[in-house]
Amino acid sequence: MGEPVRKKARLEAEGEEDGKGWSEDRQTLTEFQSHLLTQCLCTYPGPIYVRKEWSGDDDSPENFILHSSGLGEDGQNAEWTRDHLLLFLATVQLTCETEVRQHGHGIACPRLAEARDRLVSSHTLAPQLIALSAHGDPFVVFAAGRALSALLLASRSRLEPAWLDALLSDALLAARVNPPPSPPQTPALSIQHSIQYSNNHHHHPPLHHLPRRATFALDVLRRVVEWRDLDLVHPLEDAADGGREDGPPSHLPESCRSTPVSDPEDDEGHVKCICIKALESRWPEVVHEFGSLLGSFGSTNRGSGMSGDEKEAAAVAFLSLWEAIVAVKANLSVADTEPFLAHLGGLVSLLRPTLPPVLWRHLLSLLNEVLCYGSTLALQDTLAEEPCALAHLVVRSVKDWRLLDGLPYRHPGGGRFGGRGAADASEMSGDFEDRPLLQKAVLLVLKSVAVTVKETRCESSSDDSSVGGLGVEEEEERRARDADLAVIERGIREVLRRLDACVKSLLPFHPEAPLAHWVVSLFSDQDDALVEGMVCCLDVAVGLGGPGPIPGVSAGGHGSALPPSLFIRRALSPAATFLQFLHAVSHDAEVLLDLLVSNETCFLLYLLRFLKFARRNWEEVVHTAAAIGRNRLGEAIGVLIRLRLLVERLVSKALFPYNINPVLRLLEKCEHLYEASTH
Amino acid sequence: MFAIMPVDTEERGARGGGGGSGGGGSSSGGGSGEVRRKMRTKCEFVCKYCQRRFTKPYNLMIHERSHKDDVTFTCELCGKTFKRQDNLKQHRLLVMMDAG
Repeated sequence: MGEPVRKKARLEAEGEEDGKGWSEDRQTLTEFQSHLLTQCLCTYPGPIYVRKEWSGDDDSPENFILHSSGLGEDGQNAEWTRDHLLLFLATVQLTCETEVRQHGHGIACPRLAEARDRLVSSHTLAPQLIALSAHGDPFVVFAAGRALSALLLASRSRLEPAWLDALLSDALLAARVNPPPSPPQTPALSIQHSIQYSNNHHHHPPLHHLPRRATFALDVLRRVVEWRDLDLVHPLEDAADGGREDGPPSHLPESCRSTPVSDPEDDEGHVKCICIKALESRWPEVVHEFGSLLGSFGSTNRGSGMSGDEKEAAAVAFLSLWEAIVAVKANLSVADTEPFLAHLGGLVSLLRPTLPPVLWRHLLSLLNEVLCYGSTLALQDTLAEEPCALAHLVVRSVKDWRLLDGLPYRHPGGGRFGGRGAADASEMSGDFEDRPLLQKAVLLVLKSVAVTVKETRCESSSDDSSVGGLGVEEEEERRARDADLAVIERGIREVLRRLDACVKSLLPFHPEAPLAHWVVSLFSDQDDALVEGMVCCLDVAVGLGGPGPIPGVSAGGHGSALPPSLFIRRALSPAATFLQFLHAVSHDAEVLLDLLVSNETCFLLYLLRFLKFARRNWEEVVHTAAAIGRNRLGEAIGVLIRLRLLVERLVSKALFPYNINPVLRLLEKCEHLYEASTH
Repeated sequence: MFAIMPVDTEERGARGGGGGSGGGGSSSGGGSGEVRRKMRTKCEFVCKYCQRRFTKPYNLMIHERSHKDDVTFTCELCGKTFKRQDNLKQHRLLVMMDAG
């Protein structure tokens, strides 16, 4: 290879006692890792790859050091110690991940690239890592999964579709509630079987690790799908900004003989695409099998072959993978993810009291991710069919089928760490109060309502735009639309009423507290959900709500006598929500600035829309603030003024990360309105 | 990738710089101007990450922020960047102590 070989590859442990061999290997691998952490292997004195020396006799040159290690069920057949194996796996992972990041930045340390080439060009390493999913030690399985996902990403265009097939086959096989009696012959298991057969000559691969293999396979695929380099700026972004100073630094030492990557098109996005395509072709089958698995919870006669924990883990891995695929942050094309939105309806029907709380949480997370309201749907004029259909189903399930009644808010402990609600409840009854679960459920309902309302408004506005003049037919159509809108308003009122009743039955809110108030308290420890919930409330109130509040009429509680539009406007009062939010953040303008600058929440959207609302409905804002407390409006304007000054200071130094001018203009307008109303 | 059709300047001017479609949906406005606006082809702005379509550039910008995890707060003195303002403040204190 041309590189100086000062040390021999001392990783082969065959024929050596654990003591000396392990000690030397640990030194070698640790030194290798410490060089990897500098992003450069140019100064690494030894061989740059962790590969067994080829003896030339009975070993194939493709045999990696893992060829017979760690594959035994209980590790007894392993030639390496557990720590040895873990260190090797960690080194594979670190090598691949470091190279992948470097490649993403368009630069490569030549020796690191060579190390990656050697790992990727082995046709045995990936199958061996897959086979390690049957290892008895969960730490080894975990490390093997990490190493495998990094290896798949580093493979780029040299990814073997057979590896993905093997993973999918493992996942599917394990998901079957009643596994077939004969030994399975999936590629991965065949690989393992052949290796084991060569060692033991008579053992079939055991079936009782199937759920663990499914979890392993799905987790590996999820990590590939959700991978993205956090430091990486999109090429178009970079070009648009004229090469920003805060772009990704190379971090390479000056001594590195780095070169630009030869084929920047051959990137990790390719692996993600292949992975998505492989999943797409078998997705209906995957959904069917795991749907059956999810449906088997609570039934006594199915799934007796695996423990409850194993089933739960496999189901969680499946739902997490699905969530990763449809997530906006996965940066996948909407066309690529469309096939994964086809079977969502069936999931809502799985939300039954018998479903374990942990699966409720993951299912709700998945559905919330599909209804990506704050990041996407709220900003579009035309919504896709799938999220709308899901939103309708959730609305219907809450209204007609009492979805919220089955929410396992209180459940026996275990499975989660601490939390205020958990501690309080466990002292009294031994049950956890699952506040995150309630938050997810409430957010899902709010998003579903907001999507339904937005879709209704989009349809009516698009109808408007197609009308050239107003004839008799158009008048009739308008009347019919108004009648539809009235039906929708009544339905939404019912949903909000049930949501209000559900939350108040579980948490100690005042019976008269309007949704606009408790929504801030409920989400106060989860800023992304809080802001998205506030956007939903604002959009629904503006989209459906009637005029502002009437003095002397309660804004919350029952309000059954109120017309639906007025009930909605009262319950979701945007001004009340905003004032409650400012109270929750202690009127600290710097918190608002943090939320505005960060992209972890959709606060920019919320503030923009709330300020527009305030500008158009200033009287309502003044009235609501006066009803809540003395000088609440003055305090709120004080916060907004401080926020404007903070933003202007950053803008003047060109430190604000995006164009904030629309918000600044609205802040100034609201200040003028306040000044005018106080003089 | 970035499909830009005619820019809707009139609407932007009237609505304070674009953004947000959740307004009250007011239908006021002069007859001929309104018809002209309705008849105009809608602008389409396509997300370079996921190819979703938006009709307002500011909405697209807000959406594209959710695809990114990039830099947030920058130190005025040394250009170092932080995700959180409190970390930047802590850094500023250290820089000032070093300078003092």
